[in-house]
Amino acid sequence: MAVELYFFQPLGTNSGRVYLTLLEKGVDFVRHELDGRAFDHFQPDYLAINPKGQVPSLVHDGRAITEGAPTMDYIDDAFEGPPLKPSDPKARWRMRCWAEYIDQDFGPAGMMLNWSNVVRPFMGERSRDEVEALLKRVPTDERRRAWKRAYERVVPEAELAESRRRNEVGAARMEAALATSPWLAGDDYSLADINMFNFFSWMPRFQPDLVNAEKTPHAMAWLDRMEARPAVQQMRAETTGRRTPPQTGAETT
Amino acid sequence: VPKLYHWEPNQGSAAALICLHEKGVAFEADYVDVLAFEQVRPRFLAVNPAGLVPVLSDGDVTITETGPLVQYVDEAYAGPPLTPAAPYDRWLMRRWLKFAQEDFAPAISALGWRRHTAGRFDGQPPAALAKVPRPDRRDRWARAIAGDFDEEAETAGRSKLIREIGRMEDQLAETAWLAGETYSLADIVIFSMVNPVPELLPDAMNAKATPHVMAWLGRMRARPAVQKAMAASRTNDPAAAFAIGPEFVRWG
Repeated sequence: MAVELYFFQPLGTNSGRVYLTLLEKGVDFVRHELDGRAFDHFQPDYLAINPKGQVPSLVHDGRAITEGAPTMDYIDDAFEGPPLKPSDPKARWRMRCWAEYIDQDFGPAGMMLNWSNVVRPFMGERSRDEVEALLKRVPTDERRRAWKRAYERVVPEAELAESRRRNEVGAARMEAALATSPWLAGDDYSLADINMFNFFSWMPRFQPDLVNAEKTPHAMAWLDRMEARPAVQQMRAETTGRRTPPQTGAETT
Repeated sequence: VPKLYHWEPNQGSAAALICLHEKGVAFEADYVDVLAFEQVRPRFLAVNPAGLVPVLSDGDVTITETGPLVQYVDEAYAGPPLTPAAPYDRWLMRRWLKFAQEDFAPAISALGWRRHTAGRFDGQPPAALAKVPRPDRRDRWARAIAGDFDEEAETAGRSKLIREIGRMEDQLAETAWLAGETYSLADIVIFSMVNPVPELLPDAMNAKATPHVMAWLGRMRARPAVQKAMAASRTNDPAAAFAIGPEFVRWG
């Protein structure tokens, strides 16, 4: 049965983690690119697939599979290919803790910083009318609030500082984990590595004081091992934007 | 035997207790009174430096985080499986676990705090607050105790919660349980969150508006594992036990 993926191009963090899971699993899929800057994800055709207007969405056997980390788990469960979950329950628990940490802490912190750096200027170029029209198309209250805050530039400095603190804690947490095992869940490469790679790979470039060869040598070596994987190289070749933070910030987990 | 550190059988502590009872796991229980700040005493911080319950201490590992914890219990122990077999149903289950943490817990905690906890501190932060490990969490405790709420975030959170209750009703109108025809961790975790909701938000969850959710709640409350879990209460009103919940997702 056909497998289709709707994702942002340039590829963002959330699209990237699902895209890379499909490649690692060796799943053949139809690629539907959405342009976040043109607000493709708020068009009726896409909202029919994902009423929350979030990206990515996987369509398999005619059913829409949404939400980043649960979609990754689904791909591992539903398709043949190399297992992407460790067999040991303790290692699986570590894998799932990384997913929680990314969705609740590290991911939103990066997203907030990215919105203030990238989306805010981008929105600032739009006219008030254009923005009002856009806000009307945002399907959920919480997303409308995020867009509104980006446009009105009301993210307080204290919140940005807290996000930077979380980035710093995240860098230390990665280094500590990778100093004790080759992969994030332990001895086996897993969904945790795929997941975190998409949120962490931009850190050496955008937070060079936090992630570098001297301060986080194990995290840097892990990034090199990730980059060398055929699936990652294929993702790089097929998509743009993975070396920078997400360009639109319009994705959510 | 493993040891579960838990508070009143509500939210995460209820989920861990129900899950262990459903699996038939023999365990030792250690009650941590969160509103007495026992979770930041050295005895408990030695177990979980994050100062959060529930925690399962199992041989050489310390299992934290409600969603990952219940999945660990299901996978590490014999007993009836609490994860469906079909990939689609497993995805449904994991989506509910994610929403439990992101959408249900913050909104219900905020409602519960206002109703049941706000009056307990007289606006005065207890000294133990200084020992809460994470600065942002310490700050949220302090603000809640002072009565300083983020009304806009709470309103947005409540609207997400109401949307998710609607999704529960749609699902339970179609299938017996939240992840399909199989009872699963989704039922355990979501029940642990919404058990107090008919009282906290009666307009959103009642026999008229959400009949299937109410019938499901009744089936859940009747399960022996749920009743055993509720018997761990020391206040006899576990649905009134609210501390600071997880934060509203800050962005996105």
